[in-house]
Amino acid sequence: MANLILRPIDDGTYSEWTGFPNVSLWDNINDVDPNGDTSYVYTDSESVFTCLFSDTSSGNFPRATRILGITIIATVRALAILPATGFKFRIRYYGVDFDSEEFSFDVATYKEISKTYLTTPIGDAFTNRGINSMEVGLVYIDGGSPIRCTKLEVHVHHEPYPHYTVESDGNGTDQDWSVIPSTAQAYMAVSGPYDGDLSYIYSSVAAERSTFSQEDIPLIISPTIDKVRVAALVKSTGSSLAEGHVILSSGGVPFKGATNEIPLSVTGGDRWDIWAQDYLNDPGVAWPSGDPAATPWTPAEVNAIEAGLENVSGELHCTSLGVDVWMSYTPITVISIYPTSNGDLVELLTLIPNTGELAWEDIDEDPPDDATSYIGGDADTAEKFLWATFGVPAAAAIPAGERITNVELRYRIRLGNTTSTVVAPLVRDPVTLDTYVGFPQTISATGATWFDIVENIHTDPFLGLPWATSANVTDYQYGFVIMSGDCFLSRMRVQIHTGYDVRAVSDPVELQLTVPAMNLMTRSAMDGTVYAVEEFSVGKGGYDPVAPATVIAVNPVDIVLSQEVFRDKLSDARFDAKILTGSVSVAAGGIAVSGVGTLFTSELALGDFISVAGEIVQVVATPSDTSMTINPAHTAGAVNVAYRKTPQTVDYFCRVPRDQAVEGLGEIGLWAKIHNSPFPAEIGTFILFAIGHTPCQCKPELAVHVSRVRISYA
Amino acid sequence: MSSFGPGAFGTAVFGGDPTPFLLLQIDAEMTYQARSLMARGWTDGTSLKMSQFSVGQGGFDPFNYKIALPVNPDAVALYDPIFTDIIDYYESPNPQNACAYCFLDYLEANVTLGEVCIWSEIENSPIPTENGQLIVSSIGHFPLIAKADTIRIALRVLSQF
Repeated sequence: MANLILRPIDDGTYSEWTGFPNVSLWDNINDVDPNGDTSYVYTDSESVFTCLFSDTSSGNFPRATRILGITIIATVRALAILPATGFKFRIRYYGVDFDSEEFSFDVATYKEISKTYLTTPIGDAFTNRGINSMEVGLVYIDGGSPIRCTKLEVHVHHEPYPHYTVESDGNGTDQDWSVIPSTAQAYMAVSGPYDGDLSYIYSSVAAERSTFSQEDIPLIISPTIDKVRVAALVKSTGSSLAEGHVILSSGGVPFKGATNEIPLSVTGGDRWDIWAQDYLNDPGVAWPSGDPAATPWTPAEVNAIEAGLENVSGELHCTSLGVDVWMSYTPITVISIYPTSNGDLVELLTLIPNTGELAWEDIDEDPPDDATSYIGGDADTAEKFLWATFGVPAAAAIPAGERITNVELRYRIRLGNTTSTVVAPLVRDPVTLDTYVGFPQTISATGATWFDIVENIHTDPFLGLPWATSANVTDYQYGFVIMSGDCFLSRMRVQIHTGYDVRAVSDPVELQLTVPAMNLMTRSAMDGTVYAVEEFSVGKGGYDPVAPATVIAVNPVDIVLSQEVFRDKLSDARFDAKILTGSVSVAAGGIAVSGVGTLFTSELALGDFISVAGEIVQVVATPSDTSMTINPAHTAGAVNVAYRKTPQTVDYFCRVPRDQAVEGLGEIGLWAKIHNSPFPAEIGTFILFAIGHTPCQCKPELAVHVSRVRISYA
Repeated sequence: MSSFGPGAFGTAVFGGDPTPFLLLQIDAEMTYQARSLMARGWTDGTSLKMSQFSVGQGGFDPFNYKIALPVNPDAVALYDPIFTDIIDYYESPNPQNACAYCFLDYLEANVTLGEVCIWSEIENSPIPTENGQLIVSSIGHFPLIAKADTIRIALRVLSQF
């Protein structure tokens, strides 16, 4: 899974629908731009289909980013509008089927219907490995009308790991919920390692609320805080749906969300699920708290909040409650870009001033002019998603020695004439017509207040690779989709952020995976253990102290560094998926590879290793761009599959600040944190994931050292 | 006095241990020889042009690798030079500063390093035989860096006037 948009690549476990014109289902619905009744899958009897969405051979990286969630978008229509006709989304995750709530049709033309999952249907975080084997499809609910699906895609939303996670350390102002065990303090039941039904708080009475004070975040120098998230692990007992709010209480006022007050829901079935709300600034200072630039959080404000839950309906249990805190990264160079033309998609109306201007002319102001000029639309009235994209001008080149670390998409919006709306950012490639839909944001109860919503895109959404140049950013169109309700958009800004290009001057140290790491990776494929490489440490070992240029061999069974002196979070990570252009075919037992759209002669060198359908072979000859000889022969054979170079690599950046680790350093290790495990005691623990040794490098107190280390995966 | 610079993440200074390609900032000290030539140039037009660099095995305390020894401004050569090359490129961070980037590639200077000097060429001297001569114009010391053939180093040598 390299990029952020996944489309069907093969039929899945269920294939009860019928494909048109192709017999296989997946290649009727993998269109970049949906082609309506030209190709689709259809059914008129109760049935299911699922497709695979990612190439399982494309690898599984323990990245320094995690998957915030996924959005499934289906372009579907019913041939007649009959009330009983509808469908559900089906996710097949690690071999278990989960169906969504039911969706019905109000028009007979194609329309997009979407569902966003923050977690897997069993409450765990999504993982790359899980998504690589995940199937997604539709379940037809027979109401008399046949239905067709012409496009199905999955958008994957990434985010960095939080810098700090703090837990409840005391009971707060409201304490309405009951506690199990009854003799325990409520805050103890929701803090500490995950313990499921052993200790939790619960409520079955509407409006009951419990809040808890949180641990202070660590003292930090010159802090700027990006975001605070309140997250709770909840479930509904029995089979009924339960609803509630995640509460952030600031200054004694309970807030039910950063930009909305719509209750969150959890289906029955006794499964733990995660509820979360993000706050970009202290809601006690300014609500909606959607604008991180206007009134950024201060550590004192974060330390003063209480977090909790409020019941709306059903019986809710909560076993864990925490607050995640993300610190800001201050960019070196900032390039602000505003639209200068309409793009391919133009479905938003020029509401004000509406004097014949083009839509982009109403949203290009700096600073935003709010009510003076804006565009918008009502997706409920239109009975479809409303899409708009805009062209942006070429931007200045990125200064030498810097690289793009982030592209911030910022939208100045307000509710229109409905009480709620769901909107999402867009990025569109005008060449391939590919469109990435960002994380959907729900807005309600904000009235006529204008505020900003923000999405940060750290990698090219179509390639999954780091942004290369400013042209890489400005060649795309940017926009906005209203998925439901009425929304006004007054200003759109695309902003390029840069950091120093450590890659430009540093070759990485190759690290060796430890034996515990390899065991963990193997185990995670079978028991669902989720881990992530999050920290590094440096030490005084690794070299011969008598001959400081002599390196001592790494011992892969080590579980700690020999003389650790400093440990911290990773600064950054970059992965290289090494995906190659085109697709290849090879017969079983064959050494002749043929390509379609391939660039063998320019992308490959003799002796390179490539991975084709999970088998690693070496390039022996490339007589043309579409023919190649490999060694050894491909065992299973493959037809028209994506392929890549190997090994894939992940580079991690490890920053040792001034005055720290003032030593002769020679060893560096990466640490993986276990986030989910069938063994609760393991959750939250770290294991030494990889080790590297170098000749002695003395670090004086005034220096900041950034080490770049690499792990290679076949 | 030498150091790896004021070094804050995001100030273009990356001390790099133990990254194989280290970008090291070194505050070098001008030699008396260079100062006297520059002073003389105010009256007779003699000028200096930085052109080469050398690295050597001196500069750090052999009993405590973490300590950089003080620079002797009277020195006209490194204590134990082992590699000399042309300066790769120049930078002028501020009007009182000249900065030279000196690259050590994989196969160059693979020993323990602790000293660097900048060689400058005398130009426009009224004494014709001086023109084209190279003098050590600045020297910097730093704590031990063990260079190996898996490592490339970029030394950013700052000379403050």
